[in-house]
Amino acid sequence: MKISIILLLLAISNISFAKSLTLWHAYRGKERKALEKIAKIYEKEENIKINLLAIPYDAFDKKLTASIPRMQGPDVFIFANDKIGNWAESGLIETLNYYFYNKKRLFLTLMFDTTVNSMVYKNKLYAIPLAFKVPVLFYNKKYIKNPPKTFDDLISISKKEMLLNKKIFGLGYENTNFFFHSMFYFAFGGKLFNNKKEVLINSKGAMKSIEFAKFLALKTKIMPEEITSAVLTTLFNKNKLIFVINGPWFSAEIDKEINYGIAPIPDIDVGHKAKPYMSNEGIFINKYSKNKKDAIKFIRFLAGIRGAKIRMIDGDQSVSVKSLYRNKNDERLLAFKLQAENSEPISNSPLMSYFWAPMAQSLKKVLEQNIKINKALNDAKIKIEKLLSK
Amino acid sequence: MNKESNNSKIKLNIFYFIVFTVFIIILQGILYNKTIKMNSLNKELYLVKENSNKLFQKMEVEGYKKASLEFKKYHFEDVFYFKEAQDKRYQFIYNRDLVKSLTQKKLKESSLLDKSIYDSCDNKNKLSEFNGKYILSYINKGKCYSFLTVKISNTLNSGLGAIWYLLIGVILIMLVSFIFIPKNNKNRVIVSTIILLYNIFFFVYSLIILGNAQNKNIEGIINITKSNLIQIFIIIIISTLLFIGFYISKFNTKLTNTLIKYKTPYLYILPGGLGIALLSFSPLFSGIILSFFRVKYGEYNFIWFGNYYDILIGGFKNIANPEGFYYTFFITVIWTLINIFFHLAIGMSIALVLNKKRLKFKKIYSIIFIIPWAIPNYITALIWKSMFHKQFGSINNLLVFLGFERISWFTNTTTAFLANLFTNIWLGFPFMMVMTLGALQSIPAHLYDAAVMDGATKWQQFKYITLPMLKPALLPSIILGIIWTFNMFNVIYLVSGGEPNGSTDILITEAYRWAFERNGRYGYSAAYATIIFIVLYLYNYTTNKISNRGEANE
Repeated sequence: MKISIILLLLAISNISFAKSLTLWHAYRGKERKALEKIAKIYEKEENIKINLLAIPYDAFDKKLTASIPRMQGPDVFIFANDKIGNWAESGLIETLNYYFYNKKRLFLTLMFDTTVNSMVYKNKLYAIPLAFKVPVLFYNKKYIKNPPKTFDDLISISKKEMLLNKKIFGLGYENTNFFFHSMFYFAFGGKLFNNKKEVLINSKGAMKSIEFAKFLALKTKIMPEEITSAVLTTLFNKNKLIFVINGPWFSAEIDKEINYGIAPIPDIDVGHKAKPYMSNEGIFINKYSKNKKDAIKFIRFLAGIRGAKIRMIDGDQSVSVKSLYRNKNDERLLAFKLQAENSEPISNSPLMSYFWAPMAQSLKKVLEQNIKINKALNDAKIKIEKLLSK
Repeated sequence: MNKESNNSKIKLNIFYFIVFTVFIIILQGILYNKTIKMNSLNKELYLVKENSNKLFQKMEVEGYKKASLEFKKYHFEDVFYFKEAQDKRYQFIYNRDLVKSLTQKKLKESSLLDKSIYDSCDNKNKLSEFNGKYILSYINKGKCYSFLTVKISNTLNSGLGAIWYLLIGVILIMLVSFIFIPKNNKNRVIVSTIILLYNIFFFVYSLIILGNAQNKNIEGIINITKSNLIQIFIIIIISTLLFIGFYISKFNTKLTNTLIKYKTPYLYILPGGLGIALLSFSPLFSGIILSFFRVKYGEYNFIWFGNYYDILIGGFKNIANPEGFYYTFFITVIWTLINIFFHLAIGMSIALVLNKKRLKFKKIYSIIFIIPWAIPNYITALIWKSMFHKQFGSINNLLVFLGFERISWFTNTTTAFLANLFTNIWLGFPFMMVMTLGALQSIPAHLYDAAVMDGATKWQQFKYITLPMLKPALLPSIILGIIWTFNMFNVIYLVSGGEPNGSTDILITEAYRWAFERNGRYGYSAAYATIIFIVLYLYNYTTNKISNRGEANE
C-alpha cells in the first residue's frame, strides 16, 4: 500500500511535458545562468521542456561529429561559427534559409550584418547569431581620462607617461597571435584565401600590416616584449600598463581596484580604421532533429529582443541585436557597437584552421627573430599550400 | 633424410600460404574500394546528375509524360512543378495524387516536403533529402522541376555488399589454411597468429569504414542501420572464436598444455587480461589501423602505406627541414640521450651522498629532492616557461644581476633546447635518485669493508663495487627513463612550444600537431605514433638481447 502511494507520487511529480527540446552549449558562469533563466521563461510560456546540457568547449566539436550522424545529437546547439564549413560539408547542420524567408527575413535585420554574414557558408544560412566577441581598447583611467582616437595619439600619450614613470609600459596586445594582429591585417586590406583555395597572404596589405606591427613593437618602445595573456593581466592589474587591446573576456580578469574604461580601437591613420576579427556565436539546428518547428520558435525567442536583453544584462554578453546598443551614455556598449560595425568575421570555411599556426609563426619570425617580412610571409604561404594539397 | 624433406615441405606450404593471404588481402582491398563507390545509389545519382541536363531538355521538348519514363529508368518517381512568382516565393503546383499518397497519413510532413523542395530548388541541381528519399531539382526559365527518388533502404544492402566480399575473404583464408595445415606445431602457431591478426585488422577496418560511412553527407554513403552492424560483428566474433577453438584443440604444444593444465590461475588473470586487452591493446591496434587511412575534412580513405611513405620517404627528400621526420627524430634522440645522462649523473651523485650513514637531516633532504618529481610536471613546465621570459623572467633578471645581457630564450634553437633541457633535468633526476637509493640499500656492506682492507680508493670502490652492483637494478629504470623522455610531451609543448619554427619539436609533439592543429589529420598522426612505437620497441628488443647475451656470458 505504502509502496504504491510512493510510486504514484513519484509518477505525478515526474509529469513530463509532451514536447521537449534538447540544447547543448558550452557556457559557464554568468552566461550559463542567463541561458537557464531564458529556458525557464520559455518553458512556462510555451509548455515545452528545454533540456540543457553543458559540454566543455574543447570536446564540443568532437562530440557533435560523433553523435549527430548516429541520431544521438541535440535538437539545437550553441557554438562559435568557425566550424560551420566543416559541419556543412559533413551534412550535420540544417540550412535555415527556408525558415527566414520573405517576411520572416525581417527577423534577421534585427542583428548586425557582420554577425549574420558570419553564419553564411556558400550562400546558405546555417545559424542565427547570438553574441559576438571583438577586441577593444581597455585604458587605465589613472593615466588618461579620454581615450585616444588614433594610434599616433596613443603613441604620444604613452611616450609622455613613460618618461614620467620608467617602470610602466604604454601598449600591450598579443602581437604574435593572429587573432589580434587581424585589426591591422584587414584594415590594410589583407586577405587570406579565395574561393579557389589560393593562398593570398603575401599581398601588399598584409606586408603593410606587419610593418605597422613591427613599428609598434620595436621602434616606438612602448610595448613589453614576448607578450602573453598572463603578462597583460599582471601588468594591467599592477597599474603598469596604460592601454591593452584584448577581447571582452579580459574584463573578468581585471582587479576591482583598477579604474578602467573601454573604447573602440583607435584608427591606424587617416585612411585606415582598425578592423579586428569578430568571433561569433550562433545557435544551430541539427539536420536530423525531429522538432525543427519547435526549434525555430525557440531560436526566435532566444535570439530575439527578449532573450537578447536577458543575455546582455544577466549574462554580460555582447549580443548581436542592434537595437540594444542605443544607450549612448554607456561607454562599454558604445565601444562594442562601433567595433562590431568595423570588424571582420572569422571565416567559417574549413580552410581557415590551416592558417592560424603558420601566420602566428610568421609574426614571431618578424617581431622576435628579425627575419624579413617578405621571407616570413612566403615561407608561411609555402607551408599552407603544402597542407592544403596533401 | 626424411626429416629434411618434411621440413622443406612445411616451408613450402608456409610460403604458399603467405602468398595466398597477401593476394586475398590485395584483392579485397580493390574489390572493396570499387564496390563501395559503384554499387550504391551514388552510382545512379552520379549518372543522373551527369545526364540531368539532357534529361531535362528532353522534358522541355517532348513533354513531361514521355520524359518521365526516362526518369523512371534512373529510379526517379515523379515530377513536381514549381513556378517562381514575382515576389520570389515558389508556388507549388503539385502532382496531386502523388502528394496525397505521400502526405495523407502524416499531415505535418507536407511542410517538410515544402522545405525539401525549396532547398532543392535553391541548391540548383543538387540533392535534398526527404524522408529517406532524395529530391533533385532543375531550374529553367523561372520554373523549378523537382524529382523524387525511390526509398534509400532498397540500396542499403548493395552498399553493404562490399563488406560481404571481405567476409568471404576471411572464410576463404580459414578454409585454405585447413588444406595447408602444417604438421609442425610451431608453424601452426604462426598460421593462427596471422589469421588472428588479419581478423583483428578486418574488424577494426570495417568499424572505421562503417563508422565513417555514417558521417558522410547525403551524396555519399547512406545511413547504415544498427542491425546490420550487429550482424557483421557477430559473424566476425563467432568465426574468430571457432577458428581459435579449432586450432587450440588440435595443438599439442607447450602453450596449450600449460593452458589446460593450469586452467584456474589463467582464469584468475582473465579479467585483468581482458582489461589490458580492452584498454591497452585495442587503442594500440586501432591506432595502427588508423594510420593506413588518410583523414581529411572528416573523411576516411584507405591509402595502404601512403602515410608512412609521406613521412619516411617524403621526409627524406628534404632532410634538413625542421618539420620533417628525420630532423625531428634526430632532435628527439639527442634530447633523450642528454637528458638521461644528466638524470643519471645528478641522481646517482645525490643518492650516493644521501646514502652516507652519518648524514644529518637526511629525511628533509630526501623530501626536498623528491619535490620536482612530486609536483605535476604540467604545472612546473608552465612555471619554468615564465621564468625564461625575456623581459620579466627570473632567469634573465638573475643574469642581469650578474652582469650579463638578457637572453631571448625562445628565438634561437640552441637556447630554446637548453631551456627545455634545464626544465626536464630538474624534473627527471629524482626518479633516478630514488631508484639508485633503493639499489644502494641492497649492496652488502661487507664488500666495502673488504675493499677498504685491500686498500681501494673511493673511486675504485665506486667503479668496481657500486657500479656493477647497481647495474641490474638501474637497467630497467634507464629503459623506463628513455621511453618517458622520448615521449616527454608536456615539457616540449609547454616550455618552448617547438619554437623557433618547430625546430625544438620532438616526434610526439609533431604527432599531436598533425592531429589537433592541422584540422584533424588523424591518419598521419597515427602513422607518426606507430613509428614512435616501432622505434621504441626495436630499442627495447635490442637492449634485451644485449643484456641477455651479457648475462649468459657471465
